[in-house]
Amino acid sequence: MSVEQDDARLAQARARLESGFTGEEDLEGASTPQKDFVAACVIAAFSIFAIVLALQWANPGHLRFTHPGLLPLAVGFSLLAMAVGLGVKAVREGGARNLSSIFARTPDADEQGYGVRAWLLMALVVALVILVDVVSFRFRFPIGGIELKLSSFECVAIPMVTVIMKIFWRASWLRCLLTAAAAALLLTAAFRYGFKIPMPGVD
Amino acid sequence: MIFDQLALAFTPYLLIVCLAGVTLGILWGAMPALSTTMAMALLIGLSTGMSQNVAIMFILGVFTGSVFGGTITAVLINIPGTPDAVPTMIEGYPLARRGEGGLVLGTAIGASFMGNWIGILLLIAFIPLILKLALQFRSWEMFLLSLWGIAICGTMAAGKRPLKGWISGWIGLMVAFVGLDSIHGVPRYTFGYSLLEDGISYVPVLIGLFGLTEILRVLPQRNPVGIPEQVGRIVPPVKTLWKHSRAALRSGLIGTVIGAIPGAGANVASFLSYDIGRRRASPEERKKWGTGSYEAIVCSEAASNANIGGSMLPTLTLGIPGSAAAAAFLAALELKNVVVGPMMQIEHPGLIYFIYWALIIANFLMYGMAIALVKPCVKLFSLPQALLMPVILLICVLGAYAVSLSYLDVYIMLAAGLIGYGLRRFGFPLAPMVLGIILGPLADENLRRALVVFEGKSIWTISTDHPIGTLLLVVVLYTFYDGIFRRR
Repeated sequence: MSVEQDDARLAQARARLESGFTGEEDLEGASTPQKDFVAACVIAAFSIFAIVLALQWANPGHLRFTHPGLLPLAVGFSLLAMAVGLGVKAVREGGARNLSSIFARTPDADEQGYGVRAWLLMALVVALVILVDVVSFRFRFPIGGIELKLSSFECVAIPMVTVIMKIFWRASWLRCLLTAAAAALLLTAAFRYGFKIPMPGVD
Repeated sequence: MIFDQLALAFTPYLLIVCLAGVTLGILWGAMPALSTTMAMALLIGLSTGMSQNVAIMFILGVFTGSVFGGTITAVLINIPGTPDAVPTMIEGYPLARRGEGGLVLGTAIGASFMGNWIGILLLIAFIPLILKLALQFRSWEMFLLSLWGIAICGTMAAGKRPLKGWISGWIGLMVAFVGLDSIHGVPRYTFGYSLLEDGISYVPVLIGLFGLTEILRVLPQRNPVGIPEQVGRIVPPVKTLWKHSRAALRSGLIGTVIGAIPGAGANVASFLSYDIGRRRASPEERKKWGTGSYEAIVCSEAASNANIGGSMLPTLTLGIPGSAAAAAFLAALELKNVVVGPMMQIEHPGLIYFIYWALIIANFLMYGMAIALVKPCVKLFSLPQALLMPVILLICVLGAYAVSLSYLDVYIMLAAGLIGYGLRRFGFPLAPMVLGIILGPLADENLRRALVVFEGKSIWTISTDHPIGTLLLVVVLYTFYDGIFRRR
């Protein structure tokens, strides 16, 4: 990093400190009126759905104070009120206009690439989790009195992690494969033999 | 009993475990984009294979080490390893550029050590008092306390937009209602799936929200790796620390108090004590703030480390986590069948003393290891995130599965990670959601019990019979009022 970049980062951090209390998770930059408006609509729909379900539950005790839906209803209604509050505030700030700006491409090339990379990563993570669940087999081979195991987890994890590393690390295929294999085998050995935790699927 | 627990904590095996935890914590915290909360969330899965004492020593070692670890990158490459290290970066990096990197890190290590001590001593002093008070709590008070925990966490986590924090907490409450109702056994939000009748465990949710969400957020970024400034010899300068001992004491107190407030963690503590420190500094010292002040570094580091002890206070006495990292510690204890809260001293006698000793030992080890590890840490900065994150992804999957050996938990972790990523992109904090899931069952059961007890009584009788409850109700209402109407 250049001295200019370093100085810019320091200036940014100083400005952040000057802006006052931004909360433990510091998400000020992530909010726009458009995003708040969309979030308010989704949360309102979610809370109405939760309220409707809660109203249908039976009350075996016949005491209104022990009704299983008592707190879910209270939470549902208050969540709806909060969603309305968020929506009204967003509309006042112009959130109902130019909604497409949420998905609009930014002129910043790096930010554009970030979106694509994030979606790709999500797809790969979902694929990894589903594959580990669906593919299920194991091999056992005794070496020097110790029974070593190789389960479907390693066989799925190694190629998937190799692909993720290739896309995001951008090293050679061989380097990614060797790193992924070493990491996956070390991890599974630590879980299986160190912590005595079996692998998902057949172990 | 105190010394029995000391003898137990001082066994060579547990000391090695704690040392390993502290080392891992410092290295973890030193790597940019790897937060303390993420480390703690991933450790829950690993701790299932450990005994109770080993898990406590290891997790508290990692907690103590990782809070300090963030300082190293902040000072040497101008990137805060953890968010609370931003003030240290502002002050420490310009000094490191002038060739004082070793002195800055030495000061930070000393201040962190002092801050930890203040947090631990205040924890030891206040736990008996709060436990005594907590034993007076009945259903109504427990319900209000749970509600206040979620509300204040929302306010603290979301900063200028508390409504978003509360919404996150309320969504967490909704998730907590999934499963069989505790009084009548009526299935709630299960959609006919028997697997959901046991409810949604908050452990895989925590791993998803703080592990997978972070991977999805960080891995697609392309951050250039910095070149470390010259480190020099690392010696904590006793003279400098003595000169700023008042600032360290004040910041330690601030850090502990902030830590005890649910949702407010090391980030808020470090920023607040930095701000207060600047106002209270001498005119001569104030001129240095922003361009390289040792007093500012002491303020920031003492507060963020004192926060550890502070966050343990509500966690151990009331079962309300003081921070997201403390929530992970709570989850690890729960997996060992340790239920924290007012009855902890009766149900698990001596455990609280063991936790004190674990914190004290971890602090001493942090001091030594921090000095020893700074130079090796410099080499870690060149490790690309794209190499670490896929490995952490596998730990998320295995950790979520290890909790109850059920693959449903892995799907819950995946869903929590994706939802968490979406919520963060829309500016919603995640810690209140975790608190909502943890405190939801407590709030639900206690509200219904309290209402049955209150049936037929007037509001006046209820408020005079339950003075603590009335006070808590005022506090809850004020928290909401303050969040909605205060000028920002």
